[in-house]
Amino acid sequence: MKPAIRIALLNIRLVMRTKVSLFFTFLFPLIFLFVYGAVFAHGDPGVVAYMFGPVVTITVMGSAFWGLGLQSVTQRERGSLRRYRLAPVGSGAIVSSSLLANYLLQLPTVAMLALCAVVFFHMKLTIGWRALFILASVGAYTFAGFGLTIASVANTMQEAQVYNNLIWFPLLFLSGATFPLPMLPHWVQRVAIFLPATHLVTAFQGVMTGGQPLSAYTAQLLALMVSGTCGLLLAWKLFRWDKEDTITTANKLLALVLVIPFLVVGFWMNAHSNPSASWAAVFNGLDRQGRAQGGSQRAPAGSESGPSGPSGQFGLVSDFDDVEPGSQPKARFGAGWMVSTDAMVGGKSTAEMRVVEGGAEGSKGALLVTGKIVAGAAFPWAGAMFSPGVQPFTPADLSSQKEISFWAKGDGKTYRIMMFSQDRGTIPASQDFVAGEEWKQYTFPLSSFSGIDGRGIQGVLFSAPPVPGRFSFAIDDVRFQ
Amino acid sequence: MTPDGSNSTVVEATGLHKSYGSVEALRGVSFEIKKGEVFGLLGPNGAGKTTTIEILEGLRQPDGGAVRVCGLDPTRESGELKQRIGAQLQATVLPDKIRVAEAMRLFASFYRRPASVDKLMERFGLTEKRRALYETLSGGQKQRLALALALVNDPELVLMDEPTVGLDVQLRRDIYSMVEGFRNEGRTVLLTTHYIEEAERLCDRVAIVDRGQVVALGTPRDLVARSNRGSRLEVRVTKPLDAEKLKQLEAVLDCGESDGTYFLQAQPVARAVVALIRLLETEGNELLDLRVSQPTLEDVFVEMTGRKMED
Repeated sequence: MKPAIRIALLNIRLVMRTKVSLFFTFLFPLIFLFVYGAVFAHGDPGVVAYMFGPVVTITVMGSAFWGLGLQSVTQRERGSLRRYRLAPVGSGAIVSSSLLANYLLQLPTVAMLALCAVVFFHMKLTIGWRALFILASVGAYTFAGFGLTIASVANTMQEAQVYNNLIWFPLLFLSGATFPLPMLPHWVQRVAIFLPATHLVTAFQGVMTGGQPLSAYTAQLLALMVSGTCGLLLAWKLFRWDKEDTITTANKLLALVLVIPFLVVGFWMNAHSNPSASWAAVFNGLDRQGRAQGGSQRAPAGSESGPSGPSGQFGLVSDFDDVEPGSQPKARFGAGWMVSTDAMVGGKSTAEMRVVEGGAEGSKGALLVTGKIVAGAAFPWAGAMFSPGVQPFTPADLSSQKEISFWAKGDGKTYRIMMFSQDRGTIPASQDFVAGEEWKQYTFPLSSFSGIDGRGIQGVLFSAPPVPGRFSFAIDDVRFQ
Repeated sequence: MTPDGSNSTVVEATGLHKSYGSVEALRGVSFEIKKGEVFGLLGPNGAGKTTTIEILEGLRQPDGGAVRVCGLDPTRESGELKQRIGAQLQATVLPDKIRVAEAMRLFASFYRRPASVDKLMERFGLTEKRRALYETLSGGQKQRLALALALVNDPELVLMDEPTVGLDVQLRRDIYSMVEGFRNEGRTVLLTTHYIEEAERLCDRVAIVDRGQVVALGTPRDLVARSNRGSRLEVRVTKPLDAEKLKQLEAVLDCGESDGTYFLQAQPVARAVVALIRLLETEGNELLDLRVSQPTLEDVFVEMTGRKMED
């Protein structure tokens, strides 16, 4: 191992002497952090915490594919590996030195990202340094295996760049590293479950903002480690010192073995859990303005295996008579009520909710929802959302219920009730209602929401229309029936 | 017997064959190198020199034939062999940002018995450049570093592939001095070259290689002596001579004339000179200038292959 360590230390020194390498190793990830933190998260500590995983994932992936992988091809094309070949240095030493150098450079980079997120964005490092170290290590190790495999199966630099692009862009855009997974169409989420980057991104987000233990992601992390190890073994087996030594197509196909762990874990997760619901729960449970990261603390942890809850218990959601005015509302079942605005997708709309006196038909209380719609997001919204599942955005089976009923009054504007269901992904079906000066009861069949049958309902959002300006409305006696 | 008086064989190559696709790079190359010898593989580009040296280094596997280097099989005992040989590639490339001393110490660290890095840098004139980055070195400095790296494990056999290609005359002479230094230290040296002067000056024995075959093997002196082309005489005289009479002189093989200068191929040259002087006396002619040049390895190569080295 001594030659590998010595070459690794040399490689690190060479990076430190090369401005371009320094830029891409240390500065580029920081740029990503600040772009994600300032532009996407608007500096909100809770959202920055959610974005931190994607930033780290992009950092370790970029370093492996565009740094480590291409550097290995460059060394071979340039002929600088040949001098090592004349010395008693084996191909295993070269591969492991590349892995080690990359790893030793990535750890301080991730630590620096965490430090900057804490200092500049006031992100709470709920994950802890130990879990951060484990996740960053798994990511750096796995993607190093991928990068080195690409280097070993590509005959030229151009070929390596083609392979990199073919893998890089799906990993970047379909894994949640760029756009939050719950915002992506359902079919993309189905594909994402088979991508390695997805597991790293969602593990970071689940632990950092979902209040979940690292052990909840054991299978995913194991798949990453197995695949990374396969990649390193393959890179070792197919290692070539000289650009004249080309690789056969049959040997290139060996690289497909890296996909197997993700096929296994992907099918397993689809069969035994509901990853989309889990991702949505973390996403919708984000506590903005950094009040208390760890959304699942709102509701007791429960099964994530599809629509849940005894359907016979559904009926009244809230009559808002059971809490004091000024309090937050309670619900008879499900994960309860929460404010939902377009801030989670970068918008600036705001909303507040509280129980007030004077409900419909002379009842004690009602839920007042006020706020402001601000132009900026593609689809501005703000309002109050009820989650019928055991966790926010976890699907619940309401198929025994035929309609939803509620009373409303307000400033006279037209508002929307939006129904989120598992079948439709993140695109809700909606109905309009007018909140006039007097209380008025509205009843909508569930089938009127684009034909949904009540299975897999994730949330019911009472929202202001996407028209800029202040709004105020109240609702009462919300129930499925 | 070898220069150091022993008979031990350091390199044995027997019937080496190697093909790259349909191209036959080696077609039965055989030679031996004794301990302490400076042995040259001389031939034009594409003759098979580099393939031969790479087989000896264990970098390539021959398709046929047998090879032993320092008593080891280069393919099966590559690790042990690398401890005992030093090699300089035709083009050594190191990372641009590596420093001279750093490269020396790194490669020295790979061996069981490393040589003194400081002494090597001093010997190869690299001490002042010890902190210089590789990318800032001149071509000559890079070549000196490559040679120093070849000695970093104090090897018993040094393999050098075209050590002076692309260097100017002064740098070539520096390299020649270094190779002579290797000889004086008792190291065995194998070098490939396509420079006649280099082979004649440095090598105890030379194998002339062409199209994957050894076409001649021996000391430069023997090879030249075995040549049938003879020595070359350039003669200028006061009165014109009859070329036919010159051709009929004893020991003269061939004759030609250009601008009043007569060119004679002669073997042995001494007899031809005596016969020429007698002819001039007989005809009352006077000698203005007489130059004698020995045949070279280039002549031997042309004689063996029918082509010039640079063709």
